[in-house]
Amino acid sequence: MSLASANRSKIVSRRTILVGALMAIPFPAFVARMYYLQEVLGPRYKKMAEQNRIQIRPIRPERGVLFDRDSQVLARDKPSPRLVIIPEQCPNPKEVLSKLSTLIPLSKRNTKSILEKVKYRAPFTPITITKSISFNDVAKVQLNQPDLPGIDFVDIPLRHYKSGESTGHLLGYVGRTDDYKKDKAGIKGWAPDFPVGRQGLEKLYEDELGGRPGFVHHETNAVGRPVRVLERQEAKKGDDLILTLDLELQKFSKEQMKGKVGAVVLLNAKTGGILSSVSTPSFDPNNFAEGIDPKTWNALLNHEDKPLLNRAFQGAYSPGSTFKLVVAQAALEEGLVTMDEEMVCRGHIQLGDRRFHCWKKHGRVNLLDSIAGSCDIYYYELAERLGARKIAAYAKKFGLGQRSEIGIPEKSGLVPTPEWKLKHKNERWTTGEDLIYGIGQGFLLMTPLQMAVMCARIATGYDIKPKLLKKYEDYETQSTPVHEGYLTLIRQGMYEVINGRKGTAKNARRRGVSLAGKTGTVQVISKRIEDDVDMNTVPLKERPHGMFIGYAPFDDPKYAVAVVVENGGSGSGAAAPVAADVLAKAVEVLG
Amino acid sequence: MLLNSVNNMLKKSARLHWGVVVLILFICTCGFVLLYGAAGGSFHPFVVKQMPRFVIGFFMMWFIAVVDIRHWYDYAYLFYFIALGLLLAVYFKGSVGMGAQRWIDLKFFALQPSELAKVFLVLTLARFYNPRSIVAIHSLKNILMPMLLIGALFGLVVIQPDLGTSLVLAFVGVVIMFTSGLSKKFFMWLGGIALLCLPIAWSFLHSYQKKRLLVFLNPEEDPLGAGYHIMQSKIAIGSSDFWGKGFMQGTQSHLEFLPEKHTDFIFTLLTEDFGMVGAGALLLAYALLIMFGIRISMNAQSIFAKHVALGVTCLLFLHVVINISMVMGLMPVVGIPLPFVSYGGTSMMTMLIAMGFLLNAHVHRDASLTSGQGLSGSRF
Repeated sequence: MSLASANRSKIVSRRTILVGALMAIPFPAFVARMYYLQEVLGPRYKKMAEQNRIQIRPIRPERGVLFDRDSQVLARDKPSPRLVIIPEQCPNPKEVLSKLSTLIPLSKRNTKSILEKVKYRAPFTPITITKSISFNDVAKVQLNQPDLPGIDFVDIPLRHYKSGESTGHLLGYVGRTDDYKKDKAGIKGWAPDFPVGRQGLEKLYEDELGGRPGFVHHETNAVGRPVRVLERQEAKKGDDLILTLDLELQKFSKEQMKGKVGAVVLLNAKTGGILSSVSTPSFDPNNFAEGIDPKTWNALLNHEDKPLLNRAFQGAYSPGSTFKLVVAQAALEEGLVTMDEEMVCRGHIQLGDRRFHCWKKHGRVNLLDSIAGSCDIYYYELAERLGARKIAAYAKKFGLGQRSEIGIPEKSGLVPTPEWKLKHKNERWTTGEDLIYGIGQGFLLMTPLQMAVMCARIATGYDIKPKLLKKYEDYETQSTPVHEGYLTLIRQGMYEVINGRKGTAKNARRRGVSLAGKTGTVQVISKRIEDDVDMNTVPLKERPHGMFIGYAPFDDPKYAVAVVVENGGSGSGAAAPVAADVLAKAVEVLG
Repeated sequence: MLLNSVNNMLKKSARLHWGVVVLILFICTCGFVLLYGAAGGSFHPFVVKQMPRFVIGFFMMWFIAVVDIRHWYDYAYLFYFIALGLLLAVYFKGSVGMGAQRWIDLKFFALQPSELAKVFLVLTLARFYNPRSIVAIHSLKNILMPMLLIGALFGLVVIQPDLGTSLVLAFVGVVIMFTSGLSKKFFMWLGGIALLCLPIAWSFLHSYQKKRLLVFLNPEEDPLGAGYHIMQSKIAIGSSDFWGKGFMQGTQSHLEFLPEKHTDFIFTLLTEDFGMVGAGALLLAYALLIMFGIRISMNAQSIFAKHVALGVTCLLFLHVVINISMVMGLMPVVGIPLPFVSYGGTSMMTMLIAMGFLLNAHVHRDASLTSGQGLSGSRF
């Protein structure tokens, strides 16, 4: 070896050592890095590893059952089959779906969106094909299931309302919450897709019915497939509720209102328990269980008779002549009239240049006659004697002009006073308004619920408040702050309405049960319809509303009812028969 | 003649560096254990597929080791042109794999020329520097020639695009140039020019490469996107401890949070299951192997053998360091497998072939290959 090459070799070796020394650097650095990751950042990464590993899935609680007073089921969760496709069990989703579409209706658009989901969702997650599937289609699919790999049924608990439309408004429905943070903030583990009560009783008693979600801690792999259950806490079922409602009476009331627009509220006169509460037209709450389809929803929303409106609680009507009972009671108690004082009805009276009409020339009228025959002249006079403020004060005692605080959305109605008018209309109260106050017209507004409560208070003399739950149905001991003796007179008048010679609702007599009540007919247009006009010739929407309140049995009031039939023509013609039938049925069913 | 050469080869087998062989066997064993674990306690599919590659590769290593070094010296340039040709073939006809053209499909084997290029570049540069004196290598022609040799392969790999491999090529090339004795001034210039070129290089990067570099700086920012690999790897390592979570007990790897756990991120799997002890043992094995490589280079007579030994040691070093830095979050994700451990045929074969040349340099440590002393006396 030459000297030059020996030198060369030396240089190379020296450089090699240098490179080798540099190569040693990363190894202690790796150990230091590992130490740093494990010892310094370790706790943080351990936590992240746990989070990585553990997935918490909420378990939907079963919703409480709604029972009627006889423990008949009104609403409960019912397992409903849902057709799904499980991608990992389906080698060719496209082919399977096209096969499926020959068996059941399945639109191209739907198929496309399912195939999209198959592509992107975790392969073990069932993807819904149809939410609602008919019994026939279930059978068809099951028959062909061997040819449809990956197609299966999953039972989803859906809220089912056995009585459908009959209980639509009162029970309400369930659905996804719009603002789940607000609605369910206090409830740990509540998932946004759990149904909550959206309307009616379902909403009112959400806290009781909803239950508590359970959870399951899964160990999962990276794609979220559960591989092991670490911890499981079962959901707590919501409380069952027993309502004051009587399903049979509810259905019966609904039937009586068939083809009519209006409301029926039947109360247990002694407890205030709502035995039936019907508003027509109604809707089927079952349609909401899985989210209502837009077509059905729009049809409900745009229907001229507003089927979504709960008229029993939210319909505000002029009470018409049914209000005369309150005016009579006020005048008696204030000593402004006696039972025997007679007034003469010539069909109208003159106030200044305005003429106030009665619907008929009654002739000589005393208190009982005035109720039985519903004489307007008599009440113009009483109202003039009382004045608006006193009428308003008594109206309040009968529960009018205020919400019952029952919890379900309701209108407060309106009991106007001169102060109210000045404040809201910026106008002075006129004597004319005093007069029409006496016959329940003008600004005065009541809900059917308030009418029923008013009726129950007159019938029993007790401070009745409406109730929805059986457990709250205890007897109210506090007496209505009106004179019991005078109320007997009013009741007698109401008896005469049906059973008297001059009564306005003789058509409401029912065999085997003594009824009492009061009719009301409320003009919906300012034009006065003459008495001899045949109602059938008047356009439907211009016909007066028919009202009736009543109770039974006369000598021991147990049931109080209020009926409103919009554009029914008259209280006696449209509302009284309904009320009489409902009361008779209540006596028949409940005794 | 044939009998003679076989006899010769067997005789040479006795001169193998047994430390290197044992370390390779140890590391490969670690790999098989981890692959068994990665498959959830099954030989299928990783071990059964990897085992034949290892056996063939190990045989190739032995063969390369015992073939006379002068053959390799003679064929060095030929190999270079084979590598260059294959890379060009990939460029023009290669099948697209993983979004990049890296493979040539030979029906029974997917050839990755860029892997071959790494080893052949080492041979070529060693061949180039072997006959040249310290004065000769400083001539302009002899400075430019190695840079051209490196640059051609680098260029073809970088356009595949395979940034990781191309940087390995460049780095190994520069290390050999450095050890050849080139003036340090030259490397200062080279470093300066490289720095100046960085912004230009950046603009040539693919968007996913840029993203990886950026995400590397702050993986938490995008933990489910581009930062996912790094983040999950750090979680797996960080949530383990000194003794590890136990074989196949690592939650992150075995529950599939960690992607590529059997390939690029197998070191994470090791650390999660066997803790710092397990990871330290493997690191020590690599360090020893590299140390042996340096010593083989030092002890070799010829410049060729010295450069070959150092070059392949440097390859091993780069693969180990880049891979481990990557999984520990010290470096962007570049997709370099861990030698002898990661699942995959190309890496296993390439590294065993490289070790074959290391052993060859040891077996032929006393051979002197002065200018023109190759078997055929070929010259550049």
